[in-house]
Amino acid sequence: MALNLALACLLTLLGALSMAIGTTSLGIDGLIAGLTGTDERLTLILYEIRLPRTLLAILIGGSLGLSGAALQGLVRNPLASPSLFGAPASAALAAVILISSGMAGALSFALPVAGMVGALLSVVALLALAGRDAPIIILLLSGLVLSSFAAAGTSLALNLSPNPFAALEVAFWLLGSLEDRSFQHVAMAAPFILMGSVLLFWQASSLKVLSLGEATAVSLGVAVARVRLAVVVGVAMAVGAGVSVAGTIGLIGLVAPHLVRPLVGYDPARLLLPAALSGACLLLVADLVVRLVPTSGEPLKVGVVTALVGAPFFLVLVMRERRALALKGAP
Amino acid sequence: MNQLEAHGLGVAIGEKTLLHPTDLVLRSGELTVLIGPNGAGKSTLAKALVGLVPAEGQVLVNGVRLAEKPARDRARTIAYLPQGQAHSWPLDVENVVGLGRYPHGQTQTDETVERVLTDLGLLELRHRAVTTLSGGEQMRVSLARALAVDADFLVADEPLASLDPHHQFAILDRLQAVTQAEGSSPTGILVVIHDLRLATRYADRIWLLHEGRLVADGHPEKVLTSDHVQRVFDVATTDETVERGGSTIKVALPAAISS
Repeated sequence: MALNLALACLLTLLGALSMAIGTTSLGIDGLIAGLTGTDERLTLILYEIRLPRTLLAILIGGSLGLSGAALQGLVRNPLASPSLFGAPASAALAAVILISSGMAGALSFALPVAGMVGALLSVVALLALAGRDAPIIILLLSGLVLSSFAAAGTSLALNLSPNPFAALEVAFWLLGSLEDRSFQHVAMAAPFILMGSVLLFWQASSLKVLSLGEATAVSLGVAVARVRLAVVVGVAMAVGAGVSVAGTIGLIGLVAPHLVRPLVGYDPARLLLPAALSGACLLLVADLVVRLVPTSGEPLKVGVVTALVGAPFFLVLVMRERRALALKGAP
Repeated sequence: MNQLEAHGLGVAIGEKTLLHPTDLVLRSGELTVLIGPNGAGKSTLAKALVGLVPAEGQVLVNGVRLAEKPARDRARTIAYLPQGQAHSWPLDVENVVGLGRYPHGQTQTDETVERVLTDLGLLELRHRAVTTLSGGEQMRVSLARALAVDADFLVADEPLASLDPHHQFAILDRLQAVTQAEGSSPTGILVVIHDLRLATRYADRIWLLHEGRLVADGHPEKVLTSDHVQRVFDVATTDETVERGGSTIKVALPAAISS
């Protein structure tokens, strides 16, 4: 409870910073002037540019943290996350096919739907490939296969793209960015992200019981097959919709739950909300970094930042797992 | 008086029959011990009774088909402790035991959780992370979790594995007390164990399983005959007198590998 409150305060602070910092940086008086509408130029900047960007960072970061926590609870392993399972890459593939084929513009509702279908297919394929109760190595390898396949498909779509400018646009979009997003993007993604999140939060107590393994969970009255389906669909909705408006933003789903897990006593149920809040905080921070780091040409993309920070973090996790295994005497 | 009956309960995977159709009754007020050599189908039978593997035949509790009960209702009817219970996260002992309350609609520490923590001597460990405990302590936590369900029946698959002799006695004393106490549950308990001497000492009834078939079902004296034990376990036996609830009984126990 105290943890959630602290994270909510941090989120509010970061949200305010995200509203204040940019090409035109604002102080508190500037923020107030803009929000209350006394300065029209600032109002335009805040409501049309910064607010949608901030809201998307919160929604997408939060859904990634939540999805990571739920997936980790489902497969009972801290190395699980949507990106390692190829969900974002598959969502991106579906969206890219849609854009490059000219069937949908970047502002169409078909985009989040395609993204979700792509993510859903990848998670279903993953569970089918790896089977029930698969060891994590099989899950990770299957995720790698799916990611590579989706990346190859995306490359193919770019390769065959009839219009080089469209290809460039798609390539940039793929890097993952919250820049220049409008309320239309928020409206496209938010309903699906929220529905997916509700579905995931609903599984909280089942995920906790699942920590005893599937057989025991079934014996305690958990409908394990239904929980698995709900998590898969919830992750696909949340991640797919997020990817379709902001491109692929990696590894927040891995990092966010990990940061808060010891603070909730490793309880997979109590982990969900703090993981969502810290995911939102992380993406806000990454998006602030993007705005603050000076570059000579194109500004940094937020997906690049999260991947750069997330990959070493994953490495640390793997090393720690290795030590734990060595202690247990496993090969 | 609760009664769990299996009619023609059988399990097959493809062509391979793991458990031949069997009729069984697990009675309340009884501690039933399931014995048999490795691969006899003990775990399969345990899972089939609880409804965790696809099985032919049916399991009835007081005349109602177990499979037709809603999931949580079924969970409150029969609790299950798997062989080698895994703990995926370092949850507190108290939290793990609290998971046994899930079929009752919550997983908080309540009176039942307090009671089983006390009964199994786990009060001192209640705030420890379960994964940091020794194998024997983890086993007691798992059993506590299964008892916290407060179900009418309990099926425990090798709850004595990795326990020292003191705790083996302590656990069986506890389970025996639970079956005999008025108004407490579970009242009918099935445990899978390998130690035939312990089985003799504690079992109200022994089920002897061999190659997926129930070879014998009854009082230890009737089941643990030299013929049964030699044939099923492929060992030589000696006749021994085992103390049991104030009196003694004669059974055949393994003495050496059969020549």
